[in-house]
Parts: sequence; C-alpha cells; structure tokens
Amino acid sequence: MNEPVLFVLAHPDLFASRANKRMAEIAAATDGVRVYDLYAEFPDMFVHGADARSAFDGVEALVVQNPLYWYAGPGLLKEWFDRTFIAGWAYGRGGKALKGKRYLASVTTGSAAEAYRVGGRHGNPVEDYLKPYRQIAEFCQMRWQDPLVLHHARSISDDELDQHAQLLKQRLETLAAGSANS
Amino acid sequence: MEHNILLAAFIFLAAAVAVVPFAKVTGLGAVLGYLIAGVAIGPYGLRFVTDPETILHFSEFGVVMMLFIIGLELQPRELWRLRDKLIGMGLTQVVFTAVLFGAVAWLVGTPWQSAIVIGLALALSSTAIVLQIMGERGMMTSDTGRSGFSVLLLQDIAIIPILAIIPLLVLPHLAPAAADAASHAGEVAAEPDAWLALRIVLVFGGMWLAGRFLLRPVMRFIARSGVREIFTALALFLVVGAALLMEWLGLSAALGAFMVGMMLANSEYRHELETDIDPFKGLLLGLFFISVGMSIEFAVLADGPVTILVMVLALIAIKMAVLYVIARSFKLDTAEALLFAILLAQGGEFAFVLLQFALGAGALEQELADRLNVTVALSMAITPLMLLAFDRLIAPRLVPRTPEPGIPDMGDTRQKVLVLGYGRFGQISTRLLQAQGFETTLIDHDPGQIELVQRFGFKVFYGDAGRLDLLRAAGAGEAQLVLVSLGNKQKITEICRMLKDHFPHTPVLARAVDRGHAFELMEIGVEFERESFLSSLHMGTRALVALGYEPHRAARLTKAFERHDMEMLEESYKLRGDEEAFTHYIRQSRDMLYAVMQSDREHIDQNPGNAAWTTEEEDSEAEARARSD
Ligand SMILES: Cc1cc2nc3c(=O)[nH]c(=O)nc-3n(C[C@H](O)[C@H](O)[C@H](O)COP(=O)(O)O)c2cc1C
Repeated sequence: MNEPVLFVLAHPDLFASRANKRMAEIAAATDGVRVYDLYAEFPDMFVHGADARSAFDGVEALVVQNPLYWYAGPGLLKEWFDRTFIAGWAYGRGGKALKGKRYLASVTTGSAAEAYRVGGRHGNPVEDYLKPYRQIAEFCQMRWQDPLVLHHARSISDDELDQHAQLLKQRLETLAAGSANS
Repeated sequence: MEHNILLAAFIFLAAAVAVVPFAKVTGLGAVLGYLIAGVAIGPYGLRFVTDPETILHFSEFGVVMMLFIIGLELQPRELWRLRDKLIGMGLTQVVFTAVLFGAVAWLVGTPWQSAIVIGLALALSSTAIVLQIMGERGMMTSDTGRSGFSVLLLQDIAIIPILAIIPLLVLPHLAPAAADAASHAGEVAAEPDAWLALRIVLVFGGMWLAGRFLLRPVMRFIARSGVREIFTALALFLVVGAALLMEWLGLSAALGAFMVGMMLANSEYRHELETDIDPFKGLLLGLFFISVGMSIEFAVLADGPVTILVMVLALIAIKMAVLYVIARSFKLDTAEALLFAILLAQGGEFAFVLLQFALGAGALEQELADRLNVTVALSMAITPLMLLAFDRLIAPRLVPRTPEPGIPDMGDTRQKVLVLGYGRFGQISTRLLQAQGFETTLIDHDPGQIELVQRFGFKVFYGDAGRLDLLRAAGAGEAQLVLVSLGNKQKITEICRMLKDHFPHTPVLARAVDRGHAFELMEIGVEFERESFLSSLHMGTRALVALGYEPHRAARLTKAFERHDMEMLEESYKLRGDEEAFTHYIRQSRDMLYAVMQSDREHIDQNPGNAAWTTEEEDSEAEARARSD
C-alpha cells in the first residue's frame, strides 16, 4: 500500500503522553498515512541523514506532530531538520526533493488558548512560534497548510480530545486524497 | 515373581510405556492411563503381579516427593496468604464430609465406632491424583487450583489427629484382637503424651535450625565439588530423612516432606533440588497409580456389585455436594466450583492407610474394610473420567464469568525476567532491569559467583541452565523475557535453541561472544548483543578524542561506524552458505567500510549546508540580476 502522508511524530516521553499519543494512534489508523516516530527511529538522538531522507520515498505530504516545548518542537525535531533537510536535497542547487509537497504542523500546548495572545502569559499568538517551521516549509518550496493547534492538551476533557483527534483524521484524509489526485 | 526386582521393574515400565502415552493422546490423561496399566498387569488382568500391597506401600513415596516439591514452590509467606482457604475450605470440608459419611454409615447399621472411622477416612481426597491432574492442566496458580491445594494440604494435616483418634474407637468384640494387633500397627500415634509433644517440638525446631544454618553451607560445598549426582543424592537424602523423622513422630511423611520443602523454598538451590527430585517423583507416582489400579479387588466387586456401585456413587455424590457448596460460598463461579468439586470428589490414598490402620486397631470389620478399599480405588479411577465428561459436555455450556474489574490475580501479574548466567556480563544488564522494578530470576552454575553476589544482597539460584527441566522449573514458559548471558558460546547456542524449541513464545535476548557466534544465533533466530562490541567501540571513541577530535564529532563518527558494522554483519550472514562469496566479502569488507565511512565523514564533518547558506544569497542575487537584464 502506498503511503503518501508521512506523519513525523516528535515526542520524547510517549509513554507519558496524552494528546500526542492519541494523535499518533489515530494517524496510524488512517489509510495512506505512515507514522514515523523520531524518538523511536533515533533513540540515542543520532540522526542518520541518509536514512532519514529515505523515509521520504513516495511521500506527497508531510505532517509534523509535536508538543510545544519552550515555544518550539522538542530537541530531536530540530536535529532531524538539521541532518535531513540538507543542501542539494531540500534546498539550494538541485534541492527539489520537497518541492510542492504539503506541510501540516500539528502541535499541542500545555496552556489554554487565552495565554497565547499579546499581553497574555506567553506574550504572542501561538502562530508566532510556528513561524520558523513555516519558513522552513516555504524555503524548501513546500505548501504550508493551516496549522492544527490543540491548546490545554493535558486539561481538556476526553470528549474534546476525541473531537480534536477526529479533526486531525479529517485533515489527514484530505491530505492523503489530495496526494492521490495530484 | 516380585522377588526379582529387575523383572518387576520391567513389567511396570512396559505397562507404563505401552499404555500411558496412548491414554494421554486420546485425551484420557496420564493418571487414567496408569490406572488402566495397573489393572492390566494386576491380579485380575494378566496376573503379572499378584501382590500389589507392597508396591503400593513403596510407591506411596511418590506422594511424599510430590509434596516436597510443592513445599519448594511455596514460600511460608504464601502459605500464610492461603490461611483463609486452609481453614475456611479445608477444615469445613473435612468436618462436614466426615459427619455426613459417618451419619450415613451409622444409619445403615454400622457401629458408631466404625462409622466415625469411615467418615474420617472417606473425607480425605487423593493428593496424588488431584495434584497430578492439576499439574497436567496447568491449574496450580489458578483460583480453583489454589483452593484445591488448600483443601488437600489441610487434609494432610488432619491425618495427624485422625491417627490419634482411631485407637480410641475399638469395637468391643474386636478388642482382644486389637490388643494383639497393637504391637504391629501401634507404632503410630498410640501414645499421645507429653513425650510425643516434646519430640515434635524438638524435631521441627531441629529441622528449622538445620535448614537455616547447616543445609546451605552443605549444599554449597556439594555444588562446588561439581559432582552432579551427589546433589541428587542429597536431595533424595533430605526427602527420605524428613519422611523417616515424621514416621518416628507418627506424623504423615508427606507432611514432613512438605515442611522440609518449604524450609528450602527460599534457598538458592531450590530450582536444582526441584529438577533433581522431579523424575523420581514422576516415576514413583506413576508406580503408585499403577498399584492403585492393581489393588482394585474385582472379586469383592463381583460379590456385591450393586452395593459397591451404590457406595461409589454415594461417596462421590456426597463429596461433590459438600465441595460445591464450599466453593460457591468462596465465590468461585459455577464452572469453577463444579470443576473443584469433581477434582476432589474421590477417596484418597490415605483412606487405604487409615482403613488398614483401623483394621489393625480393631475399629473396623474386615469385610467392610475390603468393600471400602474397592470403593475408594474405583472412585479414584472415576475422577479422570468425570473430568473428561466435564470438559466435553459441561464446560462448553457454562458461560465463563467475565472477570470482575479491579481484582487482579496477585500471584502472577508481575513481569518476570529470567536471567541465565549472572556473571560479569549478565549482572550489568540485570541490574538495569531490577532498578526498573522488574522481578528477575537469576540462575548461575558457579557456586563461587553465587556466593560473591549474595554478599551484595542478590538472590541467585544454583543450577545448570542447559537443562530443559530446570528452565521449565524456573519459569521459562511464563517469563516476559529470557536473558541468556552465560560465558560459554556453545552453551549459549544450545540454550537458545532449546528455548526456541520449547518456549517459542518467550522472547530471548542472548549474549553473542563473537562474530561467528552471532551467526549461530541469527540462524536460530534469537536477538543478540555482541559482547565487548560496544565497550570496544567506546574505547575507539575515546581514542579519537585523545587524538584531538571533539567529543561529539568522535561520538557521531562512532555511531556511523557502528551502523555500518551491523549492516555488514547482516550482509555477510546472508552469504555464509557460499564459502567463496563469503571469504570474498570478508576480504572486501574492510575496504568497503573505509569507503563508506569516508563519505559519511564528509557528511558529518562538512555539513554541505554551510557552503549552501553562504553562497545561496549570491545565487539569488545573480538570478535577480539575470532577470532584470
Ligand atoms: C520541557 C517542556 C516544555 C514545555 N513548554 C511549553 C510551552 O512553551 N508552552 C506550552 O503551552 N506548554 C509547554 N509545555 C507543556 C506541553 O506542551 C504539554 O504538556 C503537551 O503539549 C501535552 O501533550 P502530551 O500529552 O502529548 O505530552 C512544555 C512541557 C515540557 C515538558
């Protein structure tokens, strides 16, 4: 079965996760989606670039799922970008591997939505903290999708978590279907 | 004929070999197979053996050994946990069943003295049959199994007071004969005085002290001598010794063996003792069942078939009724309670002993004793048949109870890891697991090593991990994971193969001593870790650092190297059959590795990004200029 959607999961403590684990489970149960668990692929955080790039074979859309840690993704996510998205492959001369593919950021936060505004506890809207990822996507000529943000991930009710998981599932299905057409 | 031991042994073995496997395969079970074999060679079959009594007496020792092994597996702490069942189920069962049988016997006109004897004798079930069947069905850890075991254990304990009571129940008209017989049979419990009490205290106290302070050093010394059969001899010595002591006290030998076993349940030699005794137990028990089959007096049966039939049915019906009610009141569901009732509904081997004893004491008429003996023997033969009927007809119809949430079976939920070889290698990985709270069973065959780590508070069992029976006794079948971390290549391979064959569902992680050994393990299909590979690599990393590399760069290069080496191992494994290709590959691999590493080093050392990011701006400036032109 071809899996046009690569669901990159970056969570260092999956055993203790509530939201991200749930999202990964629903992604794994969605047709056309391959879950790529970074902390399982590179348990000692040594990212082998060539290996990591080979995961993109046949991929049409990239989904990056992570909790917000210190206003960014967990450390290995950054290491993964550094070692995987190299010149001549992702950008620069001859770097077309990612061109035209869609990029969906799906993040969870610990705080409630109200905290993410100017003057709020976290000072800025959450989109501001996703800007580096958006720029990575655009620099590599990917198509940035409207991000999916789940606030208050440890506090919301099970129902709300379910609803968000369903929302993610729909987005994944759309990505998978869109990839099949294009 | 019985005087010739070899010939007798030959006949028994032939009967067992011929009948038992057949019975087992056809679903009748081993116990029934032995019983049938016994009937076949006995006085009413082919008449190979005409004197079953002596053999019965001898083979009862199998029951003693069985209880020794059960004791080994039962720590005193667990026995304490069973106390509710021991009293609630066991004592209730004995008392109620004895009263009911006594009443029935009395009502049909038996003198009250004999009625009491009958009640008590028939209240007991067959430890041998029940435990054998429970073992065959893997029931020992289930709720039903534990309940059954509790009842049996209490019955064994009850034999002590019962033997003390019987001499008081002499029938008036048999009194003179009894006085005569007392000199023969009266070695048991005829003197319940202070001296006996003192002896009991002394013996148990002495056994406890010996178990605590004497046995361990002795076992260590023997284990160290490396003469395997002496250890077996010691195990047998312990059981026989305990039995003799109990006999001297007038207590049940089985009970004594059980106590000695329990005293050793904490010892590091537990698994080894268990495996050493097990074959003896198995054979003797088989012999025991055979002799039960032989001792069924078909002549008595032929004299009054209807009477016997009624007696057998009454025996089983009354016992089942009592057992069922008890089981239900202890919250077993219908199916479990029924199984429990069927399991324990027969008369036991101790009934033979008690009836014989009562006969000698003059508390019972010969004719009645004969009938009761046949009744008990038949009821024992019927148990496996009833279980068969239960499995085929009743069990499928009873819907199993959905387990109530929140009541986990405390006995077996903990995750267990079996570690074979607790030397320099095994220790480190094991301690990591223990620190995570995993329960580990450690086995090593070097007494020196065991002693050493024991000083640091680790519990290691002595034993040869290459023995299948020992692996089984140590729980290889139930373990969550088995670590094979011995130092001997050949042994590791052997054990891994055995584990794969006999416990295919237990995950195995093995120590690979070198590359060739790794191939062997790959062939068997177990996961492995190459010994000293990682530490050697780590030394390489440090060497690079010492040579001036930055630590992180050295670490990354090491990682890349490790990866390639693993790949090469797998590659060369695929070629191992083809001698030529294999040697060629091995010769090439050094160069190959070097080449691959070179390209990796370029990547790791000079991330091409740096150049791209600096020139990129110029590129786009050039592009922009080109466009504006
Ligand atoms: C190291 C660390 C840093 C965190 N930083 C933030 C943060 O900057 N903003 C925020 O809202 N939550 C932060 N959190 C909370 C997590 O984002 C939140 O617990 C997570 O999204 C819950 O998802 P999970 O159940 O999948 O772990 C942080 C948590 C950790 C452990």
